[in-house]
Amino acid sequence: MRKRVALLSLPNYVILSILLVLTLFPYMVMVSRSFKSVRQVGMEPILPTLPLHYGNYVEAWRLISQFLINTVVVVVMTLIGVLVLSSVTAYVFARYRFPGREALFWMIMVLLMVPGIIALIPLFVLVVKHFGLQNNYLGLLLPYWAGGQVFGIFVLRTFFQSLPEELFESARIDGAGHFRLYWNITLPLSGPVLSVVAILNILGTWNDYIWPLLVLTDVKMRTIAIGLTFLRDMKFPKPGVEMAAYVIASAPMLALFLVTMRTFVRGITAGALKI
Amino acid sequence: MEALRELTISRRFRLANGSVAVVAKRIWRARYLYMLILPTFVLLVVFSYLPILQGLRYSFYRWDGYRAHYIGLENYRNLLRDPALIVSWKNVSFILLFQLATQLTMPLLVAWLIYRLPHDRPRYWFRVLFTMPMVVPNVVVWLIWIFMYAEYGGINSLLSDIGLRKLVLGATGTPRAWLGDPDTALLAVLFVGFPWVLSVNMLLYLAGLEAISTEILDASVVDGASAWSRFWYIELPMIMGQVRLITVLTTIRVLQGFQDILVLTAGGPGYSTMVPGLRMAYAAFHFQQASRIPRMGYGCAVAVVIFMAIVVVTIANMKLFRSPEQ
Repeated sequence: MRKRVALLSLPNYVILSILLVLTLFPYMVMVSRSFKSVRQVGMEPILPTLPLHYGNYVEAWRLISQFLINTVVVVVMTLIGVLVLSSVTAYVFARYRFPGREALFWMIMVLLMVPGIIALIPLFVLVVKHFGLQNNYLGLLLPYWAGGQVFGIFVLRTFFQSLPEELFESARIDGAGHFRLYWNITLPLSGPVLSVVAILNILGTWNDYIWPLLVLTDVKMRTIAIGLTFLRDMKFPKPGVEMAAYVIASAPMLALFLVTMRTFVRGITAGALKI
Repeated sequence: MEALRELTISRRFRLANGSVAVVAKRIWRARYLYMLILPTFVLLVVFSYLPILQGLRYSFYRWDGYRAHYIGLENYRNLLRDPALIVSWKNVSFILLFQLATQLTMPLLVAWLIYRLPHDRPRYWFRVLFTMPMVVPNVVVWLIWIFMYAEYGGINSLLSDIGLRKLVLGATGTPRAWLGDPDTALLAVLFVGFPWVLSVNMLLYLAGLEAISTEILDASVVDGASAWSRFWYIELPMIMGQVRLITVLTTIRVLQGFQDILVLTAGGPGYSTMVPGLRMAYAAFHFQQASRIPRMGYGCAVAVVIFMAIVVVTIANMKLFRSPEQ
C-alpha cells in the first residue's frame, strides 16, 4: 500500500523538482559565476568551472562591506524602534480601557489600507527639505518607524488580547505594576509573534530601494540595495566579482532564514495580510 | 417601544448631565496611557497622515517642493495630454493582467502539489526550498535578471547552447539585448521571476489548503472522487479567500510598483516599459539630471489617480469574487 502511494505521487515529485530548478536557476547561475575568473566567464558563462576563484569574494567584500555595514545599522535601529513602539502601543490598546480607544485604534488601522505611493512625494519634501535630513539616517528611520509600527500594532494587539486575564489578575495581586505586567508577563509570552513581526520588518527594510535612493545621496552612507545599483552603473571590475557581491548581499538574510526557518515561513504567511 | 424611548431619553439625559466632567475625569485618570501611545501617534501624524493629506492637496498646485501655486484642475488636465503617462497605463494594465494570470495559477500549482505529497518530510523541504528565494534582496533579483537578459548574458548563451541561435540575433544581426530592444523589453519585464512561483503566494495557498478539514476530504475519497474533481469541487472553493486576497495584493503591488522597472529598464527604451508610478517619480525627483525643475504637484496628481485606480479595482474585486455563503 505504502509503495503504491509513493509511486502515485511520483509525477508530483517530478513536476515540483522541475519547477524548483527553474525557480532557483538564476540564483544557481549567480553562485556559479561568482567563482569564475574573467577567462572562465568568456569560455563558459553559466555552468560551474574549475578551479574556483575565491578571490572574487575578497574583492567584492572590499567594494560592498561599507554598504553592508550601513544596512545592518539601519535594519537594527529600525527593528528596535518598531518593536518598542508597536509592543507598547499594542499592549495599551489590548489590556486597558480609556476614552477614545476605538477611534484611536481605527486611526492606526486605516493606514494599513492606504497605498503608500500617495505619500511618497510629500514625505520626501518633508524629510529632506523641511527637516533637512538628507544623508542622515534619521531620514530613513523616522518614516520606517512610523510605517513599520502599524502592522506590528495590528498583529500584536490581537495576540495580547488573547492572553488570559487571570494571569494579569494574579500578577496584580502579587503587587506587579503596569511595567512589570508588560515586561515580565506579556513580552515573555509573545516570543513567536514578536519574531514574526521582526522578520517581516527586517525583510522590508533590507529590500527597500526607492527611499534610501532619495534620502542618501552620499555614496559612503548608502545601503546595500542602492549601493549595488550604484556599483553596477560604475561598472564592476569583473563579472565574477559582480556576482560575488550579489551573493554577499544575500548572505545575511540567508543566515537569518537558516536560523529561524519555521518562524520565517510562518512569518511570511502572516505578513501577506499586510497591504 | 415606550420603554425603549424612555431608555434612550434617560441615557441622553445622563450624558448631558455632567458628562463633560465624567469624561474629563476618565481622560485624566488615563493620562499615563495616552503618554505611552503618544510617540506612535506623533510619528503617524507627521510621517503618515500629513504626507497623505498633502499628496491630495498639492495635486491641485504647481509645486516644486518650495513654492506652491494653486492651479485648480490643471495637473489633472495635463494627465490626459501626457504621452508617457498614456502609454504607461496601457503597459501597467498589460503587466497587471499577466501578473494576475501567473500569480493565481503557478503558486497554486506548486502549493497543491506539495499539499498532495504523501509524506511530511518532503512536504516540509519543498516548502522550505520554495520559500528560499525570499532571502535574495529584490535588487539582487533584478540585477541577476539584467544579466540574464544582456547581449552576452544567460538567456542568449542558453539559447545558443540548445541550438536556437536564430532567436538570439536581433534585427541588426548582433545578439539581442532583451531589455534594451523596444520589441522585447516589455515581454522581458513580464518574464522576470519565471516560473512565477512567488513564495508569499505559494505559502498563502498552502496555508489555505492545509486548513481544509480532513473529514470533508475523507468523505470525498469514500465517494470515489478523482483528484481533479476533488480539487475543482472541494479544494478550490475552500481557498477562494486566498484567491481573492492574492488578487487584491497583486493588484496593489503592480499598480503602485515601479522600483523593479526603475532598475530593470528605467521605463525605456522610449516609453516601452513606462508605468504610472515611474512617471510620477520622474516628474517629482531628478534622479540624475539635477537641472530640471521638479513637478511635484503633477507627480501628486499621478499618485492620486493610481490611488483611485487601486480603490476601484479592489472594490470591483470584492464584488466579483463574492464568496458563495454571502
